[in-house]
Amino acid sequence: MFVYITVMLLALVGIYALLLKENLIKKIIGLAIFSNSIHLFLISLGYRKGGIAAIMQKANVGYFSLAAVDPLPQAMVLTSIVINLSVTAVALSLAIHTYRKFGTLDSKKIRGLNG
Amino acid sequence: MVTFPLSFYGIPIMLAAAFIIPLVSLKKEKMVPYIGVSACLASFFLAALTFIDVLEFGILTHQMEGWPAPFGITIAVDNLSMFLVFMINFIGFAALAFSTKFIKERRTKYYSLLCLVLVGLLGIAHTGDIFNMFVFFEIMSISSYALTSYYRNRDSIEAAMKYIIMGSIATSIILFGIAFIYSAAGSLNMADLALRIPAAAGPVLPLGLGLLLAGFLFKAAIFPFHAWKPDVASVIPVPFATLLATAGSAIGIYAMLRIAFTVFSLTGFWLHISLIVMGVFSMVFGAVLALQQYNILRLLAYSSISQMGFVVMSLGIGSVNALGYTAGIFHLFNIMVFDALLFLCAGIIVYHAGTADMRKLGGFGSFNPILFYSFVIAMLSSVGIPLFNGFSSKILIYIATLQTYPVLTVISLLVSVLTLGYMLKVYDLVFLGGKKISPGRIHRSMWIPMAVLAAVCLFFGVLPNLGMAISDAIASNLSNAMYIMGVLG
Amino acid sequence: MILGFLPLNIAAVLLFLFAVMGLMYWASRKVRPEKKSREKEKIYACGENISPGRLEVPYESFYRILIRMFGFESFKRWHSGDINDYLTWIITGMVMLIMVLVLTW
Repeated sequence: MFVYITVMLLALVGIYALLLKENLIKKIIGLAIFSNSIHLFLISLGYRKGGIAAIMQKANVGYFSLAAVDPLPQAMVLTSIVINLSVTAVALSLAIHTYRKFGTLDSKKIRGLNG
Repeated sequence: MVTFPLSFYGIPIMLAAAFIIPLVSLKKEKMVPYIGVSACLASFFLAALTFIDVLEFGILTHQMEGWPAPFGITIAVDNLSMFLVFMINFIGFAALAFSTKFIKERRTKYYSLLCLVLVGLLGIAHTGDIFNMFVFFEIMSISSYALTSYYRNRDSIEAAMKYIIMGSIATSIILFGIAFIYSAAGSLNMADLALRIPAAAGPVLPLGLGLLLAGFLFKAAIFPFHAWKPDVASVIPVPFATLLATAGSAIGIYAMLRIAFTVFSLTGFWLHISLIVMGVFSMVFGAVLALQQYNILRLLAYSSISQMGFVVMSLGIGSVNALGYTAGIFHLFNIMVFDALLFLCAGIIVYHAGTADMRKLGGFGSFNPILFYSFVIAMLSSVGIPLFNGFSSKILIYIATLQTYPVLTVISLLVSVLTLGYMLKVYDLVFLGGKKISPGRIHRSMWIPMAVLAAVCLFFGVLPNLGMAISDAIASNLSNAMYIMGVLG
Repeated sequence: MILGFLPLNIAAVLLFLFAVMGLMYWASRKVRPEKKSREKEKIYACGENISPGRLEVPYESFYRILIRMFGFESFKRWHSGDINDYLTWIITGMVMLIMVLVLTW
């Protein structure tokens, strides 16, 4: 129960940073917080009270499917962490280029394309 | 059900091309465009072969690595997927052929990233697993974020920065929706979800559906989520703009159709009202803003937002009146053809004049007859004049709206008038005008795609029944009984 | 049914009319062949002298009147180029879509 409240608070913090902050680096941090909240939510979906790690060995073949935590959300989260790593890398390099071209990282001043 | 969709091999071919291109460019850089074009030609050929199989079997499936259906990743190609695979390959080939002459410097980066965008687009159309669709969506998005900043000037960097922030939020929202749906139904395979969702209860399901729709409609550039498209389309190389504006948005609408109809099998009232409202706002905003632009690529981007609004509105009507689905899918096909033609014409204009600002252009009417006639055909198609393919689908939209909510017919007709307004603005400012440009030659790699697209426009305008039969066959696939039977056996 | 053939009917009628028009045009050329002359190429303005520069329709002011009459300029001002506005639209649109779907499931 507390996990879901934490997830929603983190998502709200991430969206707050994205919508209301002007510095581009703060927006990228907000994006990272938002996606990490979704990762937390996904992992918590697979939890089972008193479960064992999802590694099948000879010893626990019999009761594996009754006691293991769900491995599928873990696979999803690993994929998503890698995707967000590359997105953050591209976004930060674009922020460097933005600073070189515009001289500022304030999103209210980067408004060449409007209308 | 027993044959393998050969067009799936197009994905490894394009992926191999995307990785071979940087290696080859170390020794011989001249071969780089030919690798890209030949990979896309091979993929198009395979798609044409698969097309015949799909017409015969209805749906082609394959489980990756032999894992049985609900546990493994499925490749499922039915009529709707095949239509999109074919169109993506076709427009991708046209864009790649056009860019052999258009792009002259840093070709390695351009062709490699464009091949990756095509990998992402083809992957979304082929897959039958919702998380796999998310991964291919990210492949396409990240490659297009990088390719947006191809020309390293001020406007490109700004557009790329805005696009990456907005796009990452949209794909995170899609992952959020997938998480909710997984928590409610317990599976990621689309056919399996279609069986489990009616039994799952609670308000989690519409939350997941709403998040997924919001994420996919961002890519389709529909009203609240359309802000990236004009900025991006005005700063990227024009062949890539062709691909992104037509196939990129069509894949967003395809993903929305998959989620809403195959997975959720929806006929709910309020979803169709919200689709109609978003479609109407997109139509009006796109047309009104296109009337005030000076940059030709920005104007064409708003024009494609407006036309996609027609499609979404018609798909929203479809749950009340079945003609709406046929009209929507036929109009999607027609949009891909004439919008690609418009962007390619703009590409020739930008290539020869060096600028995309319409106030500085003029007199292209005497430049080349192929350019002139292609633009006139595309312009008349997009307005909806009879004998061109835009009319065949727009009349179906008018009839479908007349049978359900006649106020939408009035709005559609007024938006068509505004479409004529901004198309005439482009025509007058670019093709007529004071100074006359001396006639020039267009290279054959540029005019052949345009001629083929114009021929398709005329063909489906003069013989619309073929297009209506194809769209009927695709629209009848929106109910998921055959899909579930084909995937799960 | 008649609905399915409506675009085909309209296309066929238009092609037929174009063919009739082309036939009449060709027949009229046979009756009196075209003679080119310098005078025909010039701009006719009821005897006055008009320079070609005055003939161009001012497209900018035409569209500007239309845009101001219907209030279309406000739409252009909303797309201010500020990314926070665009993100607000995305989040607000998503929240409204979710609320509509949740309340009426």
